[in-house]
Amino acid sequence: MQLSHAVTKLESAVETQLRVAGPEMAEAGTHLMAALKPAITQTMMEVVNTAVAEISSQLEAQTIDIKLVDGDPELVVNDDPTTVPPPPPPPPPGSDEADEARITVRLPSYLKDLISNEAESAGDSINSYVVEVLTNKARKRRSTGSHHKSTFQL
Amino acid sequence: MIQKNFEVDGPPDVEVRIESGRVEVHRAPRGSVNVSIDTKTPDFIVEQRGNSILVSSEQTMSWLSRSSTYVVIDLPEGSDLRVSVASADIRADVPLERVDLKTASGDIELESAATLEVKSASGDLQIERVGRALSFSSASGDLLVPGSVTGSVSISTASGDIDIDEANGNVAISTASGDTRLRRFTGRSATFKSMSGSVDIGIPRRTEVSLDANLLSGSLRLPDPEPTNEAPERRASIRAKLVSGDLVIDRV
Repeated sequence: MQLSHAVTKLESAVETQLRVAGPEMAEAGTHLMAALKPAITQTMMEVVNTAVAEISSQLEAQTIDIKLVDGDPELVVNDDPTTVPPPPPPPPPGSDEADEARITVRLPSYLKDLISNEAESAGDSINSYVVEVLTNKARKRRSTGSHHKSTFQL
Repeated sequence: MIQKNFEVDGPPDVEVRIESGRVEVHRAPRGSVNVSIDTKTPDFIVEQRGNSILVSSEQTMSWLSRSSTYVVIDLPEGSDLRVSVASADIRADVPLERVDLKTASGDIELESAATLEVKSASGDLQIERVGRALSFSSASGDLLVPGSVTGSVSISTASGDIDIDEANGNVAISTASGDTRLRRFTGRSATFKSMSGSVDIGIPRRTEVSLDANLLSGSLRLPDPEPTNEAPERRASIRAKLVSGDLVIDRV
């Protein structure tokens, strides 16, 4: 991805516009672009970064790496080794529930009705439906990279 | 050669505007400012208004007739300095108060400043110590602080390595590429954003660290836990958003 070409094009466009106002203004434009170049490059890099993060969040089993080659970013798609494997099928009724956790969730009554209807349409129980939605959501987050949030003492 | 001596009744504020060459700042006794200019530019302004002194080439905006200028200024400790150059090295071996530098290219080497703001397209910056605040914005160029920054650090670079020995205030560093090393961080909050550089931070023992890091393809390395019953002496919040660099936190 040739960001440096884009910056050069922008420089050229600014200089062309200012040349109309005279050679001194054209020179001032060159000076101005030299001063603004870091900010322009930084902004373009941040746009690329945001785009990569957004696309990565939609990929199930791949990540996108950004490598800088001669100052320009190069996007590389890799298989994500941290991809979470598909969840095991729910245990049959009456099986050992030692691995299960229970949580109580408070939610608006309209949302409970909506979930109930969606689960019924999908032919699932409410529990199975909610677990599937949460599993997909958690798996999607993992594919964006790694997020570390903790508090510890050194 | 232009040579002028000025008397001031307080810390002077000196502004230098040249196109290319070199600016050197040395120590002078309190109350005096000496300016020496070696230039071929015919119209050069060297004037005093109160405690403000201006050293300026009138052809600042002209790139066609750019000539090299060598400026030497002797200043008392604690002076303010503003320099605007297209292409010139800047050196100062006297402790300054407020320093504001704008340069398209050229290396900068300073002893110390209370506050330092640098905007540079290319060129390295080295300063021994910063008293209150450091702000550095650059397209390419390394930043080296062998001493400490007692105050806030704000850095934005497209490429170039950053190496700060110690920072005691809040830190915000954003780089596109280039490694960041903060050898000893004793402030309350540090934020790092980087596309392809790694970040290495040293944090003293007995610091409670609150970490929030998003790493797209880099890894996180923390020191092995040490069992302790001692209460933390300080707290630090570390936030990082790195695309392809590693985040390393060391116990120092």
